[in-house]
Amino acid sequence: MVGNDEGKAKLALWLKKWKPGGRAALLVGPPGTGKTTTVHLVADDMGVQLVELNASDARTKDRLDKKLGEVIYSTSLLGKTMVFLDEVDGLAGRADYGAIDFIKDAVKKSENPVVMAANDPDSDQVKKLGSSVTKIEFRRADLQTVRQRLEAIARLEGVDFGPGEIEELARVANGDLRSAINALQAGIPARKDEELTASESINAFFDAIDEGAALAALKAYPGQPREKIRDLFTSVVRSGVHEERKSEALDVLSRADMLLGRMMRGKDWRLLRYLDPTLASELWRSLGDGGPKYTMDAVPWPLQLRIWNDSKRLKEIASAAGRRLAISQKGFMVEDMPFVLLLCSDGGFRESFVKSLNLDEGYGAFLAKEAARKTGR
Amino acid sequence: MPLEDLMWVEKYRPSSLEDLVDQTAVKQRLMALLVKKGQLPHLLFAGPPGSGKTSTAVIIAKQILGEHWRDYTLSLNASDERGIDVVRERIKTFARFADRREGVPYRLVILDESDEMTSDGQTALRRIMEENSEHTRFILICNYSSGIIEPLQSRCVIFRFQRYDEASVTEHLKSISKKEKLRHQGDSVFAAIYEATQGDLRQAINTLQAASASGELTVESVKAVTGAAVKGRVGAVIEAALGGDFEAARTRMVELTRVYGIPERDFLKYAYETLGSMKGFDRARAVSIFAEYDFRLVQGSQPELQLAAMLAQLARLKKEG
Ligand SMILES: Nc1ncnc2c1ncn2[C@@H]1O[C@H](COP(=O)(O)OP(=O)(O)O)[C@@H](O)[C@H]1O
Ligand SMILES: [Mg+2]
Repeated sequence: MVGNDEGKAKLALWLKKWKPGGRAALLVGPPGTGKTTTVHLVADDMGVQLVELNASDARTKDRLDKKLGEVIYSTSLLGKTMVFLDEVDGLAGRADYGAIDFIKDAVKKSENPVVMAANDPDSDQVKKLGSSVTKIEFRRADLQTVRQRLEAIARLEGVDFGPGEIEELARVANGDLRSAINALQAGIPARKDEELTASESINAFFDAIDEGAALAALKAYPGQPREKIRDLFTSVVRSGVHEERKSEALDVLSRADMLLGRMMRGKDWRLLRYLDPTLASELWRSLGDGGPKYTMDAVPWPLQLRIWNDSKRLKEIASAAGRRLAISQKGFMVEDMPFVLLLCSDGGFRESFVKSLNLDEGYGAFLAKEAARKTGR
Repeated sequence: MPLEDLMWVEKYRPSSLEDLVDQTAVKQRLMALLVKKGQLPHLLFAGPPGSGKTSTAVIIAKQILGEHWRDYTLSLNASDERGIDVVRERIKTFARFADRREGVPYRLVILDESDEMTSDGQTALRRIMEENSEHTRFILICNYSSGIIEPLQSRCVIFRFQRYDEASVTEHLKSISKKEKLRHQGDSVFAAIYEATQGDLRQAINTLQAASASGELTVESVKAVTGAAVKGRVGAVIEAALGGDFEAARTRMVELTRVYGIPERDFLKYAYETLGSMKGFDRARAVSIFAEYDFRLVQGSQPELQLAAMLAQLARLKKEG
């Protein structure tokens, strides 16, 4: 724990002094400032068992009563117990109806201490709790603290950072230490002195004379792993590389992307260290001499323009029509749109269609164009 | 003309249980349940696209809630509004309102494509169902009941909608043709529509309308339309790939996914369905390529890359051929 040692000390003190009939504790502060962690730490330190409910549980009055009634109204046989209600400002007004009143009442009668946490000090829920709680404030960690913490982690992990980079990361995180550490792990600021632009790095990779040079080129790539794979993909797929080599290279990239997908889902960034070496040996080898050049667009320019200009309009039409016909945007796009476009080559149909959805005239011209494309005229 | 009359799928949407073509088993059981409106359980409709699930749900809403059915029905589409937040917020707020008017026994939530909802969302839904069953009923609609978590299934009465056979589709199309006073070539036309749409009545009616737009309904006009439908176009991509033309296949694939917004997962599904009717390639190899890339698509982070790599593999079959 960093930055909020003060909060931790206050909570421990409150707990030590707490007697039946005393106030509940309410930790208030923005996300990522360590409220939940602090409660767990203090409970551990003092050998207290936690009974916890967070926002993902339904927390109507009845539910709370069922789940917490026993703990609140009786002394536990198992040793000391503390009730922890996380994210109380997430209690939705109507949905979790009566929950706050129930809590206030419970706090008064409770045989065991109750601690709560909330993000927003100005929320109705926090206001409503009023004087039945002792507030403990959690602030965003200051720049200095975040920086020191990040430096310590970077040292432990053996990652090098250029001058000023950790500073920058700490600044961007704006006191949310959890997000800063995540970003650090994702390797986002892992820039080196010898950093290249994306195109320099990708071209250096394709032109490398051996695997070592290929690896160095990949390491000098300035962006995130996902962008790196994407850039390699677009360059390979648009190149004039022989078909057989191309399909082999795409297979390597497909496997690399699968690895990346797993890492992103599992937040398991350790595996990242295998990515560059795999690409350097397998992808570089599969391409051979006369490799591709850096290209940013996966498709020829006219299609790229169509993706930008037309896809948005089609989606708008599909979602307007879908809403009217009780079908999803996707459903309309797949099941109906192709037929509607065909029918739109008829001016009368087109006009009625545009009118029935209250679309402006621009859409009529657009649909006429799409219809012509469809019917091949 | 309102959209509802402009598109025949809507114009000829059945408005009562009696109007429903086929689905006899579903109809009988539903009618039996509707005798005691107040005791209606939650319902789960499972079945292929265009088999009348959504239409049936709307019919039930009208029948139970009467003329004000719209005020007491919440229709959501899980593929547009997925996830636990929406379930918690929208459904919960709606379901918690206990107020109703005379003759309205409860509120109704119709959740279409509910198998597209995350399992977190489904778990949250389960709780909401339990807590509000006195004044809210649910109709969940899905393609496969296996996409619905077990605890949800067990709280619903399941109705399985069947794919329509050729006779029912033909009969229905003929009756529409009559009402629209279409000139047509006779039975061969309807056979061609059925062949292309395989018991999906929505597609069949759409095809009928588009193919008759030029005035005359012929086997040729039907073929022209089915080639332009999504499945037809996905089929063309696979054909190009199997013919060895990787680049043509890939750019058409990108057009379908990025311009027409066909999700990559659906692209793969349709592509596999069209594989059956194609010839002249090593089928076993092709199937194993599909299986492999279906897996990679789910695992990976960039679906377009995965589909491109798959098309490249299919194109190679030809070269090795
Ligand atoms: N049993 C049926 N009787 C008459 N028309 C039907 C029937 N089933 C489907 N349709 C037609 O197909 C269209 C799509 O049906 P829909 O209820 O949306 O199917 P699903 O929800 O199963 O995909 C309807 O608008 C209607 O025109
Ligand atoms: Mg439907």
